[in-house]
Amino acid sequence: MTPLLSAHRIEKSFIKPDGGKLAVLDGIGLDLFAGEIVCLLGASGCGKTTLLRILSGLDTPDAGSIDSAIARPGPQIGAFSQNDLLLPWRTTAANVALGMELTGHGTKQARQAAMDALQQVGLGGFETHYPAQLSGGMQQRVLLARIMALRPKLLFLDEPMSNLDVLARRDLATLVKNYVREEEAAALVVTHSVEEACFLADRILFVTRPPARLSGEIRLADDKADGILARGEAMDAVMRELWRTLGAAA
Amino acid sequence: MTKKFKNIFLAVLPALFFLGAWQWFVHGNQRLEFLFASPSLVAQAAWAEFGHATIWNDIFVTLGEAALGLLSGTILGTVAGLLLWGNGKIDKITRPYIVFFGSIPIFALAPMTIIWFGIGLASKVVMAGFAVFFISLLQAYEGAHAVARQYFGFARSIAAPNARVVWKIVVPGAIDWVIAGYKMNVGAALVGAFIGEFVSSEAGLGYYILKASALYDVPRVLFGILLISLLGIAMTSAAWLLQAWRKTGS
Repeated sequence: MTPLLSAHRIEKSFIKPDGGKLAVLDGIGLDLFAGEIVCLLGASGCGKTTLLRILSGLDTPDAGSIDSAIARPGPQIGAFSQNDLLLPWRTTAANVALGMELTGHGTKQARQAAMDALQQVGLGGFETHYPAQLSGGMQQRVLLARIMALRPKLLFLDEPMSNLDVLARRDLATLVKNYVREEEAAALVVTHSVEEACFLADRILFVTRPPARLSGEIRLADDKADGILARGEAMDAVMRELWRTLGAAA
Repeated sequence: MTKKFKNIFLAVLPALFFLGAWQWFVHGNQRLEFLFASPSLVAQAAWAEFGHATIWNDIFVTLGEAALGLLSGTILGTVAGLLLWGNGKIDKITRPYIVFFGSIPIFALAPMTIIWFGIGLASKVVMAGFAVFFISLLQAYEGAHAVARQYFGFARSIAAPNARVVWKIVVPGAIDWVIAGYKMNVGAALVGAFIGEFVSSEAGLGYYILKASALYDVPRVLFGILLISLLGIAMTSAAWLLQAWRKTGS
């Protein structure tokens, strides 16, 4: 099976204010296969967000290559970041329709896709609400619906569960999982939270302190039920691997 | 209800106190009454004036000048601001010119506008419009930048074409900034129109005040000032209507 996206030896550095070079990514390579969720787990500020920007085509690497049949950036990319905001002057439905409108779909088609996506994230009935009238968790789900309405093949999620309570986390995880399985899409989630990684991932890749390299991989058993408890046991192993990764680079 | 009533009472209290003290201060002293007039004398003047058609004409002349100037200045300034935001080259080239023209005190322009546009409506609209233009420009410019920072991530990741991004996100997003600029500009537009009238005119509240002060008719001068403030309130409330129309549910 060919991966939906395959990155080889991605390198990226930034120029520091004093003129020196700050290496952020040091030869990162990974494959994303259809139907799987991969989590990148590492400390804050280790370049995870930079990597996501490069993979989604918003930034270019200094070295390395990315193979994918999917246009990046493009309508088949579903990027979600903790800093994303809904447009406060648009209703929930109009916010979800935004991506469709921006990529040239007709208003009617966008509207229909928005309705479907809102149903999918469990917010049917909130179409005419404004973002200010929704809770933080609901807003996150609207942001997710906004991505899903475009039926993307590659999801790039930057700490999608920050600011969510445990129930909202479970809902969001279920949503992402179902979407990825049904649409044969792939999701790459970057996070510094062990819990978030365990909630979501099929595979967890560990990222060292900067300059970031990948140091290990844990594959999590497929969870048929709403696997929080099953995943709880895995958390131990994940935590140990994370400490080892961070310790090794220090 | 009682709380609302109490708040209104507390808001009116200082005015009542001031008017009472004023009336008491000048009471029975002709010299003081001549210099400072009194609330009852202003009321008498108002009562007499409202019987004549000329005061209504003066009110509508000034309102028309300020409103037309405010409208044209806001529209031109907003378009210019969005243009500068959209094109970095024009932005760089025009920046010193904007600072140059923006620093001209509106007073200094009055003689030229009278020479160029006559003593009628046109010169006052130009004055009011000029007074408004630069703040509108800055508001639209800053607003568009803020909107871009907050909402562009998603649009970029799906490779939305620029024209649609501007139309669907930047323009509606900058409206709040434009409305805020409009509120600041109500006073500036009135000043522009008023100065134009002061320098040369045949009607309007500036003309009315100038005429009354030439006759040392203090009650009518104060009455004219009161009318200008009321015009300011009326024009500001148009912004409230705009904001109410643009609901966001908060």
